Amino acid sequence: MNSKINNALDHLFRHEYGKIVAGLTSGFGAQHIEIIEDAVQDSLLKASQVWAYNGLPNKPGYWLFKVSKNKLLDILKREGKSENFIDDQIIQEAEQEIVLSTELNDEQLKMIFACCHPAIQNRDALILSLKLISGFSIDEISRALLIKKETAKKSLQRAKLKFRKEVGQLVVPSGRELKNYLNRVLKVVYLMFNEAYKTSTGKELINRDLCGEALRLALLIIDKKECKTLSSCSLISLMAYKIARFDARLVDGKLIRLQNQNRQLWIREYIDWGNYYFHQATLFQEVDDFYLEASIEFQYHIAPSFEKINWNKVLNIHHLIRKHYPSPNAHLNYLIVMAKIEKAEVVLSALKKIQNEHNRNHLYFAFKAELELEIGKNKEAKESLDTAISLSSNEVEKTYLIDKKALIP
Amino acid sequence: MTKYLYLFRGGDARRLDSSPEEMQEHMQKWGNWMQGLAEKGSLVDGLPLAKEGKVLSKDGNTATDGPFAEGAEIVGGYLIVNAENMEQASEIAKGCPIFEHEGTVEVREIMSM
Repeated sequence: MNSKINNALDHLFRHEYGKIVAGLTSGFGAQHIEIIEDAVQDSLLKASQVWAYNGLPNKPGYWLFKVSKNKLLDILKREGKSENFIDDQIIQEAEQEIVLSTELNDEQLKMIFACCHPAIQNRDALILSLKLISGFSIDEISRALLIKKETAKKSLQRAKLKFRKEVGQLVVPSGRELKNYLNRVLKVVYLMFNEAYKTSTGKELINRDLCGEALRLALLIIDKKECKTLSSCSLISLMAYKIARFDARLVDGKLIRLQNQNRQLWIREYIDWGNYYFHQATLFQEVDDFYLEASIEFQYHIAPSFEKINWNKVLNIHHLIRKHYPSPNAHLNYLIVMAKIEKAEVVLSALKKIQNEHNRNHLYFAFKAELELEIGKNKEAKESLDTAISLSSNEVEKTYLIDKKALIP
Repeated sequence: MTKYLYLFRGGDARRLDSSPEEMQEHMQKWGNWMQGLAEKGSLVDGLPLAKEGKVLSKDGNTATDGPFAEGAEIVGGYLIVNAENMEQASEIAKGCPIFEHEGTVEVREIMSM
């Protein structure tokens, strides 16, 4: 009687949470977000009890939507606010759609835009999106992003306050407003991906879920014709390429650098997506920061092996990033690639010039150690590695650096 | 073989605080546990119970709404299983996922003719 449950779809509850919250917020208005969340949480709890005994119903999404909606109407009735809603067309349409597809894509898209409202700052918008659209709890968010629970909670409270006050009815903006808005939304998605990618070598698998979630949201966005832009295509491409390497990047809890990765472990399906959307992006015949980053990924994947990567091209792209989007990391990345074609001494002296930008960056010192090792300065290399080890907060990274130091004679 | 009744109490407070992902995982554990009992032929019957209800007293003329006692005391569901004796019935109950959420299982023999 329960075999159905054991093949339950991956993350069904998490995804349904986001969909139903989006559907109900779209119908009832953003000011009710708190009780909407309570109603959905309650219906999931009910489902987890009933389904454990009886197995999943035919349309789990529809079941959950119905139960959540009824619960919400109960609460509104108790608070004397329900008259306006009983026959509301939007709610009926949302219900219709969930019967047909159970996807609620439009509602989810509106929700993404609402969570990235200009009144909400980027980081808060990220956490709000993870909570409302992606169904992550505060606890899960803090584990995935390596931040304190308290910090995540405060961020969420700030964001929700604005959400209730400023958003009102959910809409997807149009015209010029859409363009400005879209860039904000993509930045938040990129932040979600990057924050999770940075920590994805940790013990927690949840970081990988989060990267996948960022990709899912980007695909929802691009599904709307007006949102298919240079930036959105490039962003999807670069995320897909990086996700493709997940299995090769971490083997037995150890971090594997690009040059040592087993390419057989790269996931073909994601590479295909990366290629497809990179091609779509090139059709715009323009360049932006996402496009440049995707171009680097494209170069990695188009080369048949690490040795055959066209480093001159990659260096040129890093040069463009450094020039148009200057940042400490852009400078460092440029030099890391430069080391593939230039003598270590030359790179090392350039590297020393930017040290004051990187006093707390373990990647800087790990790279410095590599260069020092190459020119036989073993003592300096060990010192640099010690600094890198003390600055790294990620266990997997740390192990990698300690192993590396142990190999130096 | 004798039939035994399991009464499940508590655990809801913890579940309400869970994330959707955790709720799903917990549900899957219950599902697996019960499926395991079914495959061994131990499972006879079982259903979850809703939180709402009434308690009738004084010839049935006085009705009070649930919850009936402290939260932890509410029966949230029941199962009927086959077991050799009380010892085995208790042993089977030890595998119940309710203990992860600090709930309890009351094991009672069902009297037969």
